[in-house]
Amino acid sequence: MAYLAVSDLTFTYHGSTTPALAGCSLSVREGEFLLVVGRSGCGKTTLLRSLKPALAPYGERKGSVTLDGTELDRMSPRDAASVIGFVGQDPERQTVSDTVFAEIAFGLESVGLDGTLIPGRVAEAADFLGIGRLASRKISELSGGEKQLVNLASALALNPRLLLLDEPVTRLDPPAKLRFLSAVRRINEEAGVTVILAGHDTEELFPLVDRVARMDAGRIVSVLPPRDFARSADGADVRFLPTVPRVWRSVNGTDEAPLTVREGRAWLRTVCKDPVPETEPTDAATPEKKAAALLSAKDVWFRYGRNDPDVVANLTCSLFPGEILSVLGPNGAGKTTLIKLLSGILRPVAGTVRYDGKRGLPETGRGGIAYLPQNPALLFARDRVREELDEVTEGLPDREDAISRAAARFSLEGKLDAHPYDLSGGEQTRLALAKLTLLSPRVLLLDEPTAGLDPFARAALASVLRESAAAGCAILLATHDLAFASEVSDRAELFFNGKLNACADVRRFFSENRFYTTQASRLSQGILPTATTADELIAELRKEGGDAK
Amino acid sequence: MTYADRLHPLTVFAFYCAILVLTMTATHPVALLSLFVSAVLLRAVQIGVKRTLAGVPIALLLLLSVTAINLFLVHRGAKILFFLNGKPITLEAGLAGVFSGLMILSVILFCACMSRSLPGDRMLSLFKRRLPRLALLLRMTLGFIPRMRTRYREISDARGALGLSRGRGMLNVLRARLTDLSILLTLTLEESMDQADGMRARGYGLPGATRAVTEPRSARDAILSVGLVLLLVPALLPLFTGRGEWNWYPLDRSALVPDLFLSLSFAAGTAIAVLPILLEGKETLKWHILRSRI
Amino acid sequence: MTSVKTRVFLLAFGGVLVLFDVFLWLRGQYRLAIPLLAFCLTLPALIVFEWRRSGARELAAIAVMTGISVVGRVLFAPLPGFKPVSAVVILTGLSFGPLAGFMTGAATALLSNFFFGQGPWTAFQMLAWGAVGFLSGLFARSRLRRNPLLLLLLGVIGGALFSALTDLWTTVAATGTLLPAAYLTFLVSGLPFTLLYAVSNVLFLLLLTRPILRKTDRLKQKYGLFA
Repeated sequence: MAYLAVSDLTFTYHGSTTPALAGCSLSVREGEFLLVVGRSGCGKTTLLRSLKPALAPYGERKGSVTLDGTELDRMSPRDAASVIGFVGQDPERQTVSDTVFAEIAFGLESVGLDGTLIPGRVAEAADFLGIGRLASRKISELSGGEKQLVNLASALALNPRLLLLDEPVTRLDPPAKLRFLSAVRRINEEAGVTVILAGHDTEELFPLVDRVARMDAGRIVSVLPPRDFARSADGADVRFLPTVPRVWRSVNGTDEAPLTVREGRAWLRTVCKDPVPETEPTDAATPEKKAAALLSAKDVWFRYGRNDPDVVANLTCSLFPGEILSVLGPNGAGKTTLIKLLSGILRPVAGTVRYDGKRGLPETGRGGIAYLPQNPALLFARDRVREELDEVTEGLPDREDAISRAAARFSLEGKLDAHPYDLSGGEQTRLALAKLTLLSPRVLLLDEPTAGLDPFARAALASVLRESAAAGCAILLATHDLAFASEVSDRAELFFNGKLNACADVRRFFSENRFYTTQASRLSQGILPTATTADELIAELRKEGGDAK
Repeated sequence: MTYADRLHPLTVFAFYCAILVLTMTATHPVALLSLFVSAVLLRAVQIGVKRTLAGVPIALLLLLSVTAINLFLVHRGAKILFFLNGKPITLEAGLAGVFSGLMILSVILFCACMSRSLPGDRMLSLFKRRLPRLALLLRMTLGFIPRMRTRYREISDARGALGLSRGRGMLNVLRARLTDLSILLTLTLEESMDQADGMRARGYGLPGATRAVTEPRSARDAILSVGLVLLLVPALLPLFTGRGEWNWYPLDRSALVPDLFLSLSFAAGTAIAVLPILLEGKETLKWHILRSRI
Repeated sequence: MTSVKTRVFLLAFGGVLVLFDVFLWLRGQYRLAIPLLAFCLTLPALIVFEWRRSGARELAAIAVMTGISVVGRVLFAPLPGFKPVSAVVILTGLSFGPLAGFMTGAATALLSNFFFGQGPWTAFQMLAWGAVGFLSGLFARSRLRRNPLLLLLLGVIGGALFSALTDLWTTVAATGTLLPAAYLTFLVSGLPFTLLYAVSNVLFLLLLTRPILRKTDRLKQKYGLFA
């Protein structure tokens, strides 16, 4: 018998006419690790929240959910609080206490555990996740990855049997992601806790999970083990696959699907019998020859306080019109600081930043440098998307026309009367970009623009960026998302130790790096060395297949 | 590490409450003076002589203004210095002003000492038992404040870089700032709803919540508490019996020297204030010696 | 929500404080009696807040409003008398009702004085801002909520109350008595500041009312807050 059984669950939000869940059914075995994928807005979050009585959304509900044979509504609130653990997306938004200890103890205090037993339970949960040494640290001093582990520990301390994780790693950088997911895996494997995780981070998750459920329009469409999921994926579903099975599926896709790079390379060897000789990547005409740099930094140094360490040390870089440059590096390396220096928000301690050949930066605003912060909502001051766009149309000849054109370009036509905060993450990023482009900037600086976006929103963002670059805009993006960087950018540089270290053509950058590179490049190195993105690899393989025929 | 950090917050809080009640009810110049000296010494032990002395100019200013207020507003007393607009300006009023000023200074100093011995989060842990909701409210707000300040900077930077949120003229600058502030409000309100969900997910609001026992009371707390009660009884006797109440109008010079009852009582009161000085002073000295040995 | 033991404790604690205050008053110990009275006057609201069964979201919303007004007070610290605190407190009351208004005001005073210095004056500031928040909260469900005249009135009352109560402390601290002449002198000499408070309150209210009420209304609707 299923441990968790959702049958024919239908849910409509208060004040909405279309149901968010429409006859959703799902059954999960005890101890299973289930991944739920689907476009944003397909009802993943609503489903997860419906499984946790305290978070059940406000609206009309039909159908039933049973956990271990008990109807969810019949569970006592105390049991529901401890048996079902929940961790949400944003690590910054879930903590309430000052110290890690107090945070992990919060749930135990709420459910009324004897006060003298609490410290022991806190220690147990923290040590299991390897964050015991953080116990007396202040939450505000932790990194995002550490905060998310604290959130996990604080659910774990309550001794849950079912763990619900709603996009828990989309805001984390790759190392933190792996750390969090391996902790989840231990909880699942060693403690036998059933885990349901909703998210887009299939790259890391496919090898870990037992089954993958795909959701669409408020229903579970399919629930299959990852290899079967890969085999049966077609059409838009392919986007949900990690690089390795995706390449496999697009080319062949009949026998056993590879999930890891190791399996993928073995498969690729069988496809490409004779490895393509390593060709010296052509150093595509360096942009220096094309035009003069639009924005450049020379020998720039920066630190926040006199006695603080250097965040940027002797950095030199140039940005040319019409190109997309990616600055790569983990969270906390100082990428944001670099962007703030280039946008003129911060002033270098030493060195110069030149714009259009002139020292110093332009009066910002129309026709200058536009900066998209990591959280696009920082730019939203109004209550409707339309007003939001109108804020920056002052001085344009036909304001209404400008707004509708911008909305069309960024696919926001249907959302003009929505509240900016009711938009999805991808829509918020696009709205912020629409706002920026209405100022017709010559330079666009983007800080981590793909955080929290689903594969479709990422593809939409990539095409918008390429269009802007084609129109002559110089774009710099700081990101830890290597796949995205390899897809959109012309050049890539690694930010490390305060400097930009490798200044190369993006193809060369990813094909020469062994570890700091995309899955596609890892998969094809030494076999098909010219492909750095999944799409290139697929095209290459199809060509090869065609040649063979 | 200070001595107070190793005590239960309730012990520290009780001590400072006692000291503040004694200071604010003290009337006799001898008591006021000895409490004032204790306040200065405690502050000096806590933050060093140099930084304590840095406060002297502003303290003098306060003392002078309080004295002046009394001189010109209170016209009682026998020793008339001169007449102003037909109103007598008296010596007693002046003296009363000086000692009022000393009382206010002592209160300010003791409050500053208390904030140092018992920082915000430890103070909150005091309410947690009996006023858990209030404590949580204050705790959450204290968590929001630094985040809001950095967030506010980010907002005004990001919007400033776009040329939004920049205006010329007082009213436009103000309007731009308030726009940033209201963005901050929307953003934080939205976040706080997620935070509330995080609390509900962990059972917040269930009846019978408990409290993690992390700061058990030690023997040291017990001894100090008993000591405090033993000293507090004689120290408060003048307040409760009304004996030895000082009156500036008229001034009775013979009462200036306290009798045995009052002397003992003042000594007990001063001892309550001196105890922290000794304990903190010992701690400072110990670390000094430890450091020199390392 | 709160246990019987806690309730008894809180009532007893409040009772003892009130009795002590009466005793001090009779003894003529105004220097302690008056700040203690101000504190005792904030107690009922604090206790009711504790006893009310209301959810995490309400608590979080009050915490955010308090945070905004503390940050506002700190950000505008260089300009004396020119602070958005009263305006934010008034708008919290108008949005979320009397208790939320009171708590925001009182908590703002308590917390911001961790930055500006605690003292007996904290009790007066808690009472002044709390009372303004409470008063505004009485209009939370009224149709007058966005009426400019009401806002003007609340802004002026806010400024006046703040001056009246803080001057009360200055008077009793400086003279040890409640000399009407001294109190009057303080009120009159502080008049420019009172005016500044009132004017800045009204100005902030004019600029903030629309955006803030729209945000809080949306929040109430979306999350069913303070329903």
